[in-house]
Amino acid sequence: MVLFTGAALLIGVLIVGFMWLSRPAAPTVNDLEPPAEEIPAGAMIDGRTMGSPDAKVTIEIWSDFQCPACRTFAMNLEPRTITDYVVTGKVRLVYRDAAFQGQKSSSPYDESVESAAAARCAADQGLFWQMHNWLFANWNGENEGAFAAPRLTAIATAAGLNLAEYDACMATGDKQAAVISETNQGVAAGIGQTPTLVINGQALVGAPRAYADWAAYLDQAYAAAN
Amino acid sequence: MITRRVAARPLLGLHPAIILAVLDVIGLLVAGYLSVVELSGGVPTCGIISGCEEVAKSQYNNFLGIPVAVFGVLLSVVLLSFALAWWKTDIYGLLLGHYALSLVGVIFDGWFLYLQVFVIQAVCIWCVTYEVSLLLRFLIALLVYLRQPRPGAAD
Repeated sequence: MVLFTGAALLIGVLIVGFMWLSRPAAPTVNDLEPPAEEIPAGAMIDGRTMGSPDAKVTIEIWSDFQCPACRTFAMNLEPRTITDYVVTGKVRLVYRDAAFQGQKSSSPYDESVESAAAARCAADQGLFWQMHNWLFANWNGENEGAFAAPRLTAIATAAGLNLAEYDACMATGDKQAAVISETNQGVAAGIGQTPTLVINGQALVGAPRAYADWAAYLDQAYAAAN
Repeated sequence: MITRRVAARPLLGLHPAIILAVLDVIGLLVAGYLSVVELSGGVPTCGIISGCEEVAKSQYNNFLGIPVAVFGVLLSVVLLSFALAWWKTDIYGLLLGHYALSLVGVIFDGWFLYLQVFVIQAVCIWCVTYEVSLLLRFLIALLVYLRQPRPGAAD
């Protein structure tokens, strides 16, 4: 028994020790991944909005760049939604900040608010959706440094932003305040989970997994609006 | 000594291996669910309790590029094999094997719980369920060992 206990303790400690030594380092500015999808031509971008103002269906996407389910929606469902519904004039997307995942961190630097502010600074340069795609492509853990300030700067550079304008924009703190304000507005309106997709006023909490389910939902909303 | 057969002393009127096997199956189901979801690129559902998504997407949820839940499946399969084999054969070493392997798992789970609470700052209820099942398996195996006649004493 003593032998078994000793061996088990030794193996357990060795495994944990190996994991501790090989634990992932915080993401660096050198390990950026480009997004898989590009914004298609004809997407009619206006700041944080994409699609025709005359579209019958408007989807408000209440989202956080640090939310895994938002990332899944943005990377798996959004590209085909843009191709099939936005470019064709049926759907307009409106991005809204519900940036509350960073509040779980004990750090005063809020990665959710800062990443959303960075995206708003990109919007000022007409590059919100490019920045949106780059942010989601390069997030890999909540409050683990993926959106630390130097990395956000690197992401902004990779997304094609003018860095001087970006730095000046981030330094004012106005965008961060706007993110917090919109997040609070969302919470007051009942947005408690991300993503929440408000489709022509109807809230859908969470996103469907399969594109077919999502497309059926959009077809229904489009038919109801006509 | 470890290959000797010793009749197990019943626990709650059952062969203790059956209790261990039931807990092993519970652990296997939980780890299996997490593995299937994570390997298919999804995130586990926590219901009204949040935290599973954050833990699943954390960079700490992988070891050697493999989701840690997969190791939970492997451990549960081996533990279940030990429990069933002990039930059928009463070979003393299988109880010790179950005890020692579950202790290795408990040490790892203690580390992973620390990561959830203090590093990731989110707790996955599925992971906690697995951790509790593993702790129970370890404690029951220890209790059974303490109550069990030693092979030497049985001779």
